[in-house]
Amino acid sequence: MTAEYESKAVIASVLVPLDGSSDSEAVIPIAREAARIMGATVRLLHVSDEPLKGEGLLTSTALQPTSLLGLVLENASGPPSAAILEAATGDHVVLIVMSSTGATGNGSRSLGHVASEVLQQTRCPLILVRPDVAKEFAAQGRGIKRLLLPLDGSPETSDALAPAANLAGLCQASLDVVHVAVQRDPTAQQIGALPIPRYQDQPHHALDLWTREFLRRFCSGFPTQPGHIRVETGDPGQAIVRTARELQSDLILMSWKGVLAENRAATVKTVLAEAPCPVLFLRPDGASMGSSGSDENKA
Amino acid sequence: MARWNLRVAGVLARLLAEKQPDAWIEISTRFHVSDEMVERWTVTADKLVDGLDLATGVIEQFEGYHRLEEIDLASFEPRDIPMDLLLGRARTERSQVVKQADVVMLLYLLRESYPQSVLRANFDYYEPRTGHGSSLSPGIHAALAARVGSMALAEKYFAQTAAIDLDDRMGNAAGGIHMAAQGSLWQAAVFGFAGMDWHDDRLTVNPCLPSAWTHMAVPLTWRARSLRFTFDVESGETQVRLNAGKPLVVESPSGEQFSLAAGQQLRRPTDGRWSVLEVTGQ
Repeated sequence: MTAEYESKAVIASVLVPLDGSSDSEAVIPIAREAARIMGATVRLLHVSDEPLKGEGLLTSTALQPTSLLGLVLENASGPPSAAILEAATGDHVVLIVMSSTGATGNGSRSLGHVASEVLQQTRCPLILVRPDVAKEFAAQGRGIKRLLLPLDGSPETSDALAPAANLAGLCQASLDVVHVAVQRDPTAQQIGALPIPRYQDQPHHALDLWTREFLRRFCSGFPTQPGHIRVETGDPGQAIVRTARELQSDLILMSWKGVLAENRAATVKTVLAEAPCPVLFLRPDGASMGSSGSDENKA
Repeated sequence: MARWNLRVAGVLARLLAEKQPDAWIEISTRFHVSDEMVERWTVTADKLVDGLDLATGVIEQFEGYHRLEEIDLASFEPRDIPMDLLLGRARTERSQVVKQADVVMLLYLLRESYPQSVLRANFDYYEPRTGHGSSLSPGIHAALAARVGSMALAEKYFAQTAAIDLDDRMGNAAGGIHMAAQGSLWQAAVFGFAGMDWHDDRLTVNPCLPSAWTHMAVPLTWRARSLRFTFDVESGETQVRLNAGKPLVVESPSGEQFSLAAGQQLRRPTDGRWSVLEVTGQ
């Protein structure tokens, strides 16, 4: 695999992988918004079979030259996911923004194989967005003003509260939390877990007490306190999507690491397939928003 | 419960009128209670229906309850959240799922008013239909289970109640302990496993401790009397000691009654014969 860069980014950058399809390019407005918030540069990484330069690189995308103003366009060749992962680990990449499906998508899958591999392997924060959602965002000129963080009571997902609150502060956005209670919660036994109370002597007071305990335990000192803390039940993926629709969320934050094999990661798959907004994945063991992949490697 | 309340209120009103007429006049005047009203309480109590099916011994939770959807709660186990959250409010209201001990609570409280067969029938009927969404529920189930001899369930619900505060998974430990649940835990131990009970003129005791328990001692104050109950599972010995206070009658499981004076203890050694002894040492 080779990679030739038209320009080397020297400041924090938001990486946008492209494959020449309009779907992959539809996410650029979201990447621009993210980069504006983070004070970063947008780096468009066009991945092709053969190395491209200059005019060839430009024509291989469907982009108008005027739409590239303020952006960096680069080319890498070789297997797409490997090229994206390599680019993400260097040059101060603080975020990857990409379409959940690309040129090879067959239209029926909510997650293309390239996005799937990047999601499973990168330690960099990653925004995945369906092309239809990206186009709607662009058409509406939506910003990132309302974040939704789904939690399940486990310490692992609760750890996402701090970066979520920081991001909300950065975006000057509100932060909502949806806690999805499930029948059998495997995380309930973990030290530090805060599941929904098994007993609710007076449901209104029980949930109110739980919410206050939640804020005390997890949100003390945050610059942005959660606005809504909702408790939902049922299929977690559906509950997250339903809440995002009702609250008109602009971004769903998912704390996740794992594999997308068959019969696994049902919640992630449902959210990606049905979310009405972009989905930001933060790995519990990965880089936080604002730290670059190269910094992460040094650590 | 309403019937019991009306009857007891009538009894107390008449007792007060007879024993302390001045106090009764003051209270009845302040609360506008006439003699006729007191009589009406008793008449009303006699007319109240309790939904008891004489054939099955089961008291219907409320009219129409038996026609509601039956839901197999066991199929939802193990679970970590209340049933009404799982089912949703609408379906819960259309189902036979009860949040907490209701009829079971009634029969636990009024256990002397119903035969053992009714206690048993209702416990067996409602226990599988109860979701225990309230912390008050499992302790009362433990107590009644012990009274009707369902020891495995009694032990299960006792442990479940103890875990409410010992096992901090409620997300509200900072708000304090579940005092009422702890009260039900004590009652499950004392009125359930130890089989202790009180009546107008006597105390009864009928212990049946969990198999894993080896010893249980209960200090108790009852009507200005200081008592101590001791149960030793290994030796099978039971002791009821009256430390101080007026003499009282204690009834053994077989119905024998023993009068105890301060400084005496009722003892059932391993041979099973109850006898009253002087306490020789503290």
